[in-house]
Amino acid sequence: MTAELHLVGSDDRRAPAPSATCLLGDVVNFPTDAPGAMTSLTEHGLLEHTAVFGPRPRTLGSAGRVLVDTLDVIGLSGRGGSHFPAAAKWRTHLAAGGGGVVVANGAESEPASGKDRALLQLRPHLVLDGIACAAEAVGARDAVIWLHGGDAAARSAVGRALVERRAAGLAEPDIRVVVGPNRYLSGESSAIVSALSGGRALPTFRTQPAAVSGVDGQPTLIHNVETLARTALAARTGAEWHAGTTLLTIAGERGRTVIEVAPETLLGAVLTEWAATDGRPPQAVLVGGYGGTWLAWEDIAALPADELGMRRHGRSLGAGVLLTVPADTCGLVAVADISYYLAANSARQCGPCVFGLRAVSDVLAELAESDSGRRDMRRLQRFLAEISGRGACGHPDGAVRMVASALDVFAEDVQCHLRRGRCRHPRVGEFFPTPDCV
Amino acid sequence: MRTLGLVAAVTVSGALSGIVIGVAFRSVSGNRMAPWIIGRAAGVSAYLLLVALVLLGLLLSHPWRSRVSRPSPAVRIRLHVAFAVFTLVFIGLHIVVLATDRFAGVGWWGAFVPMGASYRPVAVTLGIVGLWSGLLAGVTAALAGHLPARAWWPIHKVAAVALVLVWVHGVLGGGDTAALRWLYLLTGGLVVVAALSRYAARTPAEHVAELPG
Amino acid sequence: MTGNHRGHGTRLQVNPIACDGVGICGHLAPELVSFDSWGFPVVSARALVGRDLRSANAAVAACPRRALFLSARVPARPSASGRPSPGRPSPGPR
Repeated sequence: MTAELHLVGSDDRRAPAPSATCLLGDVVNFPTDAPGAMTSLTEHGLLEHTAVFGPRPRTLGSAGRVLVDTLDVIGLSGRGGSHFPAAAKWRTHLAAGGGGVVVANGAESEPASGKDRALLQLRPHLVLDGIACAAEAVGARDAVIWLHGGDAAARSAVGRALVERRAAGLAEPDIRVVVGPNRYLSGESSAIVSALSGGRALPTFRTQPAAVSGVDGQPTLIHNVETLARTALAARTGAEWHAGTTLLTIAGERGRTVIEVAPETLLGAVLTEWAATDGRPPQAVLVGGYGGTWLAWEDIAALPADELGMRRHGRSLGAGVLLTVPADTCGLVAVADISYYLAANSARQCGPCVFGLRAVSDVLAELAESDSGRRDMRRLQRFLAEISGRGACGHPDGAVRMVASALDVFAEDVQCHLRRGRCRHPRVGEFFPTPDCV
Repeated sequence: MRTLGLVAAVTVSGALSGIVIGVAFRSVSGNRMAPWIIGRAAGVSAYLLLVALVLLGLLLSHPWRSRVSRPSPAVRIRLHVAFAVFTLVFIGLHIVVLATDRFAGVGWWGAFVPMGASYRPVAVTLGIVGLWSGLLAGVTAALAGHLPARAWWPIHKVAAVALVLVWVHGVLGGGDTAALRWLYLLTGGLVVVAALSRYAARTPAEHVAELPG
Repeated sequence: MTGNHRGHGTRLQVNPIACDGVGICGHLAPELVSFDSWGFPVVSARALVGRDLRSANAAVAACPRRALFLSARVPARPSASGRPSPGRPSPGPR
């Protein structure tokens, strides 16, 4: 399904697009037992990059305003998971006086996601183009690419790309590489702002968005690397040739696979191709990332694999992660594991997050072991209600969302664990990536 | 509904207290030592209430408090305030009875002014200083929202000194029977253990400080 | 942040990072502050007038961690901005 991506729009009678219109165009595998990515794609050097995508259009002055309008028309939204409209962020930044700082967030805040790594390792120039476009459009005085401390491959790819660009003497703002600590929440935007302002890379309590008051109080535009890579594409194609593909990470027993799909592709088709075991589709999928929403197979199969389509169904793709639980596997164990991971990766700053996520995780661990009763379920519901909306960042809310939707989707399993004291599934799956973060 | 419950609780506890005090008075009535016995009983009661008050205060700020689900945090704070009020009531009884007892050798002057008593002046003085420091902690906390510079908090932190003074006051002034000595030893030890675990336990802030970067 | 506030739409708000769960706010403004299972304050979202405003001001002035403040503005938490409304998916930190 990814092969025809190159042909998106080819049925139209329009002239060919001025450049390639998708980011990757092929499958990238991150097997659990291998250190790097496995793919037929190769890292684009500057020459290859320019040959495929064409030179980066400059976006100073009025060209920048045209780009903001383009982002608005194509409805580009934050691919780190928030799906906040990019154009609105840029306009807020410009209304706050412009200038300031542009940050590309490559810290892959979702541990199960692989798309940002794939982009940084294979298409570093596209990401850097995106930063340059954004920095020019808002008149930024500083442009930063923020990388995860644990991702050496992305760091060296970005480093090589920057050396190439400087050697080629590209007309663009200077881009700095800053490496954050190897920790889950170091990709949270207020944590990045705090670190770039000279503080620690931990979430902070903000009363104003970063686009108004961010690094050292200056307007700060923080975008996920995929959002910026798409910005770089949109700057070239304009709204007319916008292909609107989506990067998905499908994680499960077989490791992780990053694919790029055309709009209106159905998630059911994607999952049948990439996440079926013995011909059976997964029973349930955690959509978005560890802080996402569980959906049963029946509910997800007919949903389109693009954010705008998902929104029409009242859903969101988040960071584009699909964590799949096979039909014969206990989902509650996976829920307990993820919940434990989220509790352990709290920044430990806000009481409801520190104590609440631990309490939730404890109840879920007992539930997974069929060692809890109805009273514990009532306690769990009370905890979820108490935690919701009470952190400085979205971390506890994500955990609540994940657990609440799990209780819904795995309701029959919950009853089984409670009433019969055992699981109705023959297998227990422990295959979701839980990187060893502090 | 809540008001009704409150009224009922106050009525029941008032009636019970009345019965207990009545029984106590009957058992010592006609005894020349009656004021002395009541005064000391009030003192020991006040001391025990103070111990409960401080223990609850330590629990309120203990890093492990989330592991204790009952009483609930809201009830803990109300209990903390209630214990403070009851402690004050029994201290009042303790002072009034002993100050008015002609044989006690304390008098009104001795009950409020350091070194003003003829009976064990050092012990009584420790109690007086304890009373003033405890009152300061209580009054500043009661006025917390209306005092500048959040003064109640640092004062509250050193208010535990009041318990140390009162403990020594109890041991020196009233530790004359084996049972009372054991009482002071056990309760004192309990508070020391609670305070040690409170201040030695790692707080979430310390966890954050240990994170890299 | 700690001054007296007047005006419409002013709400009692808490900075959860600064908050240590001391609990004095719940004592001074019981109508506005309740506690969760771990002793941290859950503040009412209602606009403050009259007696509410007075007790809220007292709670703000008494908090030893300076974690409470009065403001008409909702904090810039991720979920408060462009996120889908609750019930819809949109994962963890940005």
